[in-house]
Amino acid sequence: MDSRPTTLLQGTLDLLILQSLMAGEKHGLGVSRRIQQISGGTFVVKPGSLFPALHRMEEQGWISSFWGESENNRRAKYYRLTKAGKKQLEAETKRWDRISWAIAQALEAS
Amino acid sequence: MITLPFLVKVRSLLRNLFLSTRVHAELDQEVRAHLGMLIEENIRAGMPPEEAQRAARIELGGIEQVKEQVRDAGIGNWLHAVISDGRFGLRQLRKNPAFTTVAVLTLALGIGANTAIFSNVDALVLRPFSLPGLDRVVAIWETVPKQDAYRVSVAPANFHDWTEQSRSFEYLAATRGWDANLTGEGVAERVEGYQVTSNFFPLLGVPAELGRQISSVDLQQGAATVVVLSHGFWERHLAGDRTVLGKTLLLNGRKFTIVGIAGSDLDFPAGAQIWTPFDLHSVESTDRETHSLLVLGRLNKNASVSSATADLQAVAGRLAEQFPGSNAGHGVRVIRLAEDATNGTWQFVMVLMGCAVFVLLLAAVNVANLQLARASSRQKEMAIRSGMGASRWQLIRQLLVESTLLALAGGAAGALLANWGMELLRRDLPPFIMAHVPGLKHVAVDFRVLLFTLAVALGSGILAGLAPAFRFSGCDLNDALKESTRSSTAGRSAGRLRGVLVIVETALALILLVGAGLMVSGFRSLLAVEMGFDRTHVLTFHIALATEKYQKKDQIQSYYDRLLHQLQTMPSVDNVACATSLPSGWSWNWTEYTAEDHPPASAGEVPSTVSQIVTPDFLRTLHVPLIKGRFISPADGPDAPPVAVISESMAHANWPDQDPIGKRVKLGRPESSEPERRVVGVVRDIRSSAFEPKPNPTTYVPFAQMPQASSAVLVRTSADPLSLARSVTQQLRSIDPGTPAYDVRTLEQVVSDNVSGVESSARMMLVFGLIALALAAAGIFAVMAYSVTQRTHEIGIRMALGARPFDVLRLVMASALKMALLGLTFGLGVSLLLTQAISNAVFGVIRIEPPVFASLTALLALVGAVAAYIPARWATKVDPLRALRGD
Repeated sequence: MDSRPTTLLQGTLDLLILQSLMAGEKHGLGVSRRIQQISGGTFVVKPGSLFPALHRMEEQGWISSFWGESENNRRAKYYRLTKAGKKQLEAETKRWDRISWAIAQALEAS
Repeated sequence: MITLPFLVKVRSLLRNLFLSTRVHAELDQEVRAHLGMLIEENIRAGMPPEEAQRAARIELGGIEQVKEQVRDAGIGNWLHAVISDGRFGLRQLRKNPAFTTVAVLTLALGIGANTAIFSNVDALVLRPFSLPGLDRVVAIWETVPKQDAYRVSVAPANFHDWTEQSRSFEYLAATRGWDANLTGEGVAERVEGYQVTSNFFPLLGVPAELGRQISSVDLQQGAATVVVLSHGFWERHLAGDRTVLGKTLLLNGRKFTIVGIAGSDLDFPAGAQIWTPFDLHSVESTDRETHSLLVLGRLNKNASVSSATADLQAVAGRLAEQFPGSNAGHGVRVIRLAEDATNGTWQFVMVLMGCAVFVLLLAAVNVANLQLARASSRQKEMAIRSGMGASRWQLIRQLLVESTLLALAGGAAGALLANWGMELLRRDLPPFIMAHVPGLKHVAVDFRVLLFTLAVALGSGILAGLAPAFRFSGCDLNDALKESTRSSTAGRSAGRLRGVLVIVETALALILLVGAGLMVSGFRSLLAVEMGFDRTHVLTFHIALATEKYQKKDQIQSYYDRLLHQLQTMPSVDNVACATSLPSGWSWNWTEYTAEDHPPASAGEVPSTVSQIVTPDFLRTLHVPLIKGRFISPADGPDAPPVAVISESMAHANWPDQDPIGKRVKLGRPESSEPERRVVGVVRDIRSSAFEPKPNPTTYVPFAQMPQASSAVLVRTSADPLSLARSVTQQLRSIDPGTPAYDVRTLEQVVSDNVSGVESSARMMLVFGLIALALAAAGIFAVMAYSVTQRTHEIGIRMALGARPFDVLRLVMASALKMALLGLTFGLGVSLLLTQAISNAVFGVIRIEPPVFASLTALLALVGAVAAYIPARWATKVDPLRALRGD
């Protein structure tokens, strides 16, 4: 598998953020690192796209935020999944499965 | 959970709005923490501190940039965008002061018209009385369906039984008129009073301003002589003196103790100045014949108007079986008080409201048109903005924000205009109307009305902005960029849209003009109605003798004898007469009758006549011609044989082919004890009111044979009638200082007051019509002028190819006339339909009058032609060389 970082497909960032929060609440850097980790280093999310996405998703009610202490006693803003967010994750996952299945089919056909 | 995300959005919008510094500070903190953690991470990975910081900064990409990106994604961003659109819009409007002024003024006219009329709708129709829970307060009438009577006052005994047997009401109360002569301390005045049952004030639910209101305490041993004063009366007559409780007023010669001042909101019945207790249980508790009570109810929580009707209808059914003589065929009608009291005004107010909406539409179309014209010259700007990445929605938003700014400015100016408009509507309304039309005193531009104005302004802003907005967003921007401002032909779709707007504008203007024309012509024909009497040079007033003091007929007779004698001997007085009511006054007296040869078919079909109890000089005073026989003479005294004089239509109704002289007629119900009267004369018909389609059958009875405590007095003079008023009042004081003259007016005034409501509506509609004419002319002119400048190039080519000025004129005029014609046809159709629809609602004042339709259509066509002709003339002056060289 190619391990060079890849640009994210449009619309998948939300899915990845939601997925990364499934395991529990995280601050921004935590989310970023988690995504890197679960994608095997394929996706690196820069703060310039991460923070706008987090704030937008908070406004949409999918995640909520609170201020907490980081591992090194630094005050940081944490995010956690809401009920609506869990639903959204399910919907997004289904959508993604459909797309990836369809693309796989299309590639096989040729 | 659909609501949750929505609430989160609202919360974040509010946070962005009100806590924006805090939001920014938090964001700053969050991003800095992120940077700090990145550095720590790098140090843990073994980098030297400086290197760690550099790498972290590279990964982050700049604190400010990240913050900017977050702000762009948020909802707060949307808000900031609108604000900056607003700033940009303001700059644009300021750059174009002529356009802005015209647009704001146009919208101000439209919005102002709506504000002015809505303030009337609100006060007169929506909230005629300021009572708590007004929608549960109902008026209750008896009905006699067989006689087509659905608003019959209630007989005391029936009211009593309703109270005992119904279950739908929290309260039932009755009231009846009790106007009184107020005397003492140099005043003698007629005050409008009502006697009320103990439930009356609790039912209305407005607490007293001072002291208490009438309650069952006042009715324990008959009606106590106590009085509650209205707020207005207290302020006017007692200067709002708060120590007034316990003092007495001399009403009809009796002392009444003031026990309370009603709250300032309490205005029921409209025009009431005083209230006194009404003892139902005295002599009248078995009376089912005298229909004199106004009955009110407050529905209890479980009752509706229809369930209450059914409830009372059942009671009425039992009473009809029990008392067939008086109650057979009598039903009950329950109607919301607000609805009951506004009949007669709401029709006019709603017609005006409809017109105001048309004026607003016209204004919005005009502004849309102006914006379209301006928009075309901004096409390049829009194309560039779009090229720079502005989305379609962003362009529409910019235009909508601009037109909303215009409309808000227009709304502010409109609210000021509205005050003037309301003044126009109220000017010259007689005091009687001011006092007695429920809600009229409260008409004002208040908070509710301003809220309405704001809504109308926002709505019209969007309306006026939609056409240009969609026109832009739909057009091909590449073409726009290539197209020069002076292209050979105007953009086709823009031209078509403007054409449609002109057509709509013409149609709206015609509808308004025709409405105004019909209203004015209706009003003038009301004034021109042949009333059948000479209204010039007559002074009128009313007197009412206090029945407490004048109990016997001969006391009354001798008062009136003295009155007639003293007034008759005044210089410059020609004739003096008394009558039950003034012709064309506010009310007149209907009585049932039986005529010889015409026994009524059944108890339910007794005919009615207007009865006028008059002194001998009545006809001479009014210059009414005698047709046959003689008029009432001084010889028709109390002991002479009972006689009557009848009007032409009364004679025709009963004895169409016979000589009515010598026939007998009996006033009152067939079983009453009234004597039969011999008809001794027939006189020309006179109108009781200009609104009546034909004269009412009238019967005149000698005053001496039926003396009345209250009367209207008419004085014919060779001098100016009003100059006589002072000396007449002095004469009255010399006869009895306790009996004041009231409602002193000339007869001409009486007649015109009667139609004053129509007059003020007509005046308002005339203003609307003129605004419509001006707006339509301006609209047509603007569009034609614009299209001529757009087509300069084309016209130049045509002229270079040999077109003469006349051809050019014809070319331009033809396109204008085509639009005007379409608009006129459309407008004519709609006005015909509308006129038909409302002619019944406004008492026949508005009718389809072909001459009005024709002349106003012609007028509008002419104005349109002139408005198109001026730009067409410009077109003929186009210099072909310059036009072709233009680019």
